[in-house]
Amino acid sequence: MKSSLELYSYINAKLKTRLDLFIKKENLNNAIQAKTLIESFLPLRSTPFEILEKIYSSTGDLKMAEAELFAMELNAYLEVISLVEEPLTSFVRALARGPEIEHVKNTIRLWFDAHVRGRSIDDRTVYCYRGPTIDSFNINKILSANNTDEVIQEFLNTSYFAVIKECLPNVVKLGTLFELETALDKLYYALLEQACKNLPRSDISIAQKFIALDVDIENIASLVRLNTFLGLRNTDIEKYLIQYEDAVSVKSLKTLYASENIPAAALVLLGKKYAGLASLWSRGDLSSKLATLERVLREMRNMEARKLLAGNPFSIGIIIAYFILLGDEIVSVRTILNAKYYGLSEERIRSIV
Amino acid sequence: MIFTVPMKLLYAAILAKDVQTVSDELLKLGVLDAVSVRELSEIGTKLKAQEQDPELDTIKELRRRVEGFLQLAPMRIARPDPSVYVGTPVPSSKDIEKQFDTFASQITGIRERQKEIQEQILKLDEIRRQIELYKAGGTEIFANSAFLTVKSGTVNESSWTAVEKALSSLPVVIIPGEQALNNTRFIVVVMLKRDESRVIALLQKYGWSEQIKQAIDTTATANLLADLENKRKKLTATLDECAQSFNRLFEDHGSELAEIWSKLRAAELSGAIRSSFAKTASTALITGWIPEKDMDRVEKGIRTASNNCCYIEWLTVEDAEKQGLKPPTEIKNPHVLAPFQTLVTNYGVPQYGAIDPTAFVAISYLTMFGLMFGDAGHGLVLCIAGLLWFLRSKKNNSSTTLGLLIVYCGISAIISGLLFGSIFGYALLPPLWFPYHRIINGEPVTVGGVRSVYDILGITIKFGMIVLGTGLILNWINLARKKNWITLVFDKAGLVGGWIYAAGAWVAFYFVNHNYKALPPVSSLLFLLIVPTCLLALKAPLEHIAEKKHGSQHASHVHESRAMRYMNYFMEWIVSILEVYSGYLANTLSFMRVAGLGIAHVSLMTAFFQIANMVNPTHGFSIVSLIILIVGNVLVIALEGLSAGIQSLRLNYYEFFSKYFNGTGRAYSPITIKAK
Repeated sequence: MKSSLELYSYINAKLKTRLDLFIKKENLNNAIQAKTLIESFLPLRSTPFEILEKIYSSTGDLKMAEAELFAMELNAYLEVISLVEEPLTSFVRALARGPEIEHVKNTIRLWFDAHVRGRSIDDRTVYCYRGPTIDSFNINKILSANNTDEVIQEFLNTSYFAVIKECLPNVVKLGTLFELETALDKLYYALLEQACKNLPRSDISIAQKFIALDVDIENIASLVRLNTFLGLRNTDIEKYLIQYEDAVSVKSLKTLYASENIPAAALVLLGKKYAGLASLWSRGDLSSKLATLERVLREMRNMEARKLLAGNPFSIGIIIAYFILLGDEIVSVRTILNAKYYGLSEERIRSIV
Repeated sequence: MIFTVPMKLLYAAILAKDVQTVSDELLKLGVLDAVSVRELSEIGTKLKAQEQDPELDTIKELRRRVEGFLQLAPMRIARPDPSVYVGTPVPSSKDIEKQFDTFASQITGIRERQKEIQEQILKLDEIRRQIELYKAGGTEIFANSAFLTVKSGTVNESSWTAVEKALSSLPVVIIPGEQALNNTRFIVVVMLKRDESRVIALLQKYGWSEQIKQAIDTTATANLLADLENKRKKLTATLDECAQSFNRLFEDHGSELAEIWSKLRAAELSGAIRSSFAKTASTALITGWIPEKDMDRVEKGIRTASNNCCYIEWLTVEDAEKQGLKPPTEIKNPHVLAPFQTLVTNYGVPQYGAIDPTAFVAISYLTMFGLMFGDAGHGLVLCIAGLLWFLRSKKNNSSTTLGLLIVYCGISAIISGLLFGSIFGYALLPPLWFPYHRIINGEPVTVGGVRSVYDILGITIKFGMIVLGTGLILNWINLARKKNWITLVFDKAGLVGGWIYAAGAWVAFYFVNHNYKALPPVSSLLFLLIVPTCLLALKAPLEHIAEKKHGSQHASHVHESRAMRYMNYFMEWIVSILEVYSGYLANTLSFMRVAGLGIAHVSLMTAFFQIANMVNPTHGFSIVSLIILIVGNVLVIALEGLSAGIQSLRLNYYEFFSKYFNGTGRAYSPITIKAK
């Protein structure tokens, strides 16, 4: 295997330069303070997001701009894949499964809405991503599929075939996609763990720590959703949680589920370093609390990303940190633009971003 | 140009009723670098600041907002000179805000219209995708599709034109039948499922009667797709009309917005000046730095604006410094030196009263660049590139500094290219100084004073000594102007430091000239080096004595024991010795990189020539050789140009500036309405 210097010197230097081009806090602040949606695009000029203004000004359609954001994220992964070599390629491919699985979930959700719930979806299908992905599948055929077999067949040559084949018929019967989505999330972490084992020895622990944190965040978010929206009993939640060796155990999570204030308890469970974030949870109504929780969880990932950036410059940490911060930046931009479209107050926007 | 602009501190007291007129006048003059009266130690703490105009923040916000609108404009909208609006009343901020909200909602309206059209385009695209999906599968387009609805039926023949017109604005495609039967026309309509009820309701007005589904053959599919394409083109044309509405909006309102910006800007700056005043019950106090040359017109302006109801006093810099106020630094140079002024201010702002290093940087930077990049042809390319950059920057209203700098570097390279006889690496002209290429390529040179690489290295070292010596002299001048005599004489960059450096240089040349075998006599070394080295030790104790005398002893020295003090003196002396001997040596040898880069420049060109010859041994014309030479020249210009530029900057910043430049000044920043 090549040395860390040979593997990482080029790509990490490139990604660190890219990080310098990320939107400055001042620009995000100006976008939040803008009075209207049109004016909120101005601080994005001279940033990689200035294309969003071009799309919006030529179509008037904010959803098209949002679709472009997804394309930007996925293309970032594909670009890095083309620039690295093994064993990094496999790991970055596994990381790229994250947004790809979201794309798969979105596609299946649309099909589900159309064919199971009988809703009209053609106002949403036009915004579906149709560009290159890791595993190719024909989204048009999936959306037009008449039954589950046709949907499953479209995923035949993808890594998701087995999971979709196993879960899709059942979710159609149950009328909820939660089980399939959880199974896809579990597949994501399994693929990630598998790719992680081929990394240089010094990088394995870094990657595993990141995976563990991600699993913890995912499980906590799931617990809150299960409690808030599905009201499941403690005994029924295990199959919806992701097991990972270095993450918080399922047993602890079940104990957590029983507590009155899940997020606050979760943050304590995760460690003192995040305890300060727990105070953010206490304010607001349910929807703002959930938005705050998401913000807190994002902030935890960002904290870890910043630590990785300050660490060994010739390690997988830089690549992981880049994608975490890129994802966060994209979420911030999307949130601000949507908030401006719906006329949310500046204070409300700041509580989410 | 050589020294920073002399300043004076203005103290003025005016009546409260004249605050607005005086602040407007000061804004028009544009030379006041305001000092908050509260910074003055004696009386400042007893004064209140002039009440901040509550509207000021709103005005700032509105100004930023209208700047945003002007940025949205598809064309450049010229803004009137704000100075025209100084003193004129600004419309109420509520009215301006209302105007802006109306303007924003007009833009939003256009965007909403665009969105509606875009949705229709997307629907047509979706229909196309579905049709092509089924076309590829060879399946008839029937209503099994989750997205499409296909309806076939008849409408009244007499209503056919009206039906066509009504459906033309909807995202549907129609396949008309070829013949009218029984005064009806058979049509097939393909639409998205969600539009079905709307379309059918429309068709029913024209006598719609649904018929049994029929298959759509290949020709019909082709007609469908053609119809789709036509509709899409029409919608795209409508989108273009929306874009033109957007442009017209700015054509109609752009100048109005620009005028509002100018008014707001004038009001904002006037408010900024007013907020720096202090107030008593019925007066306002103004304090600020003014360039000495502007004293008379500022005094005249204040007196006129206040109808002579004012008191004005001018303080010198020395008196102001006694009150703890530091003057700002303004450096003024001809526009032709603008790039070098930027290089200086990027490093730091010179202290007030110090020498403005811009002119010296211009000479040293360009000389270094020329020595590293000595080729007339390459210099010409740089000149052209710099000129294009300059013109482009001017067109875009952005800074022309970089373009100018590249042009100057090009000129310097042309001059040195002629001195070395190098044009695109060829010795097309005899060198005016020495044949650089021949020396580097190992050819014998028997004429002139420069005959070997060592001679070239010697030139750069001597050049470095001149630069460092100039730095020392500038430092002495600065210290003399500040009357800092102890530092001037005994500092490592003072006269004693200069003595050691000059002596060290003489000893080094003596050693070299005696074939590296003999040093000067001990008595000479004693006087040249040992004596000044010992004199360095006097700096710390003399400074301590001076501090005690002026009562300005540093807090840490007050309770220091004698032993500790002597230890400190000793340590400072040792450090000074190390800094002088190793520092000056390193600084001087650093200039060898000038030779190094010049040699690299020649070597790269030689390498490309050899590659070109290898490809074409007959030395006749060859396209491949030509390409190699062109690519080589481009690479050398780009890489060497960048290297030479960066190294010249480094030598100036680190070697030259470290001898005299004290970048602790505060830039002069008057509140002015004039565009910079």
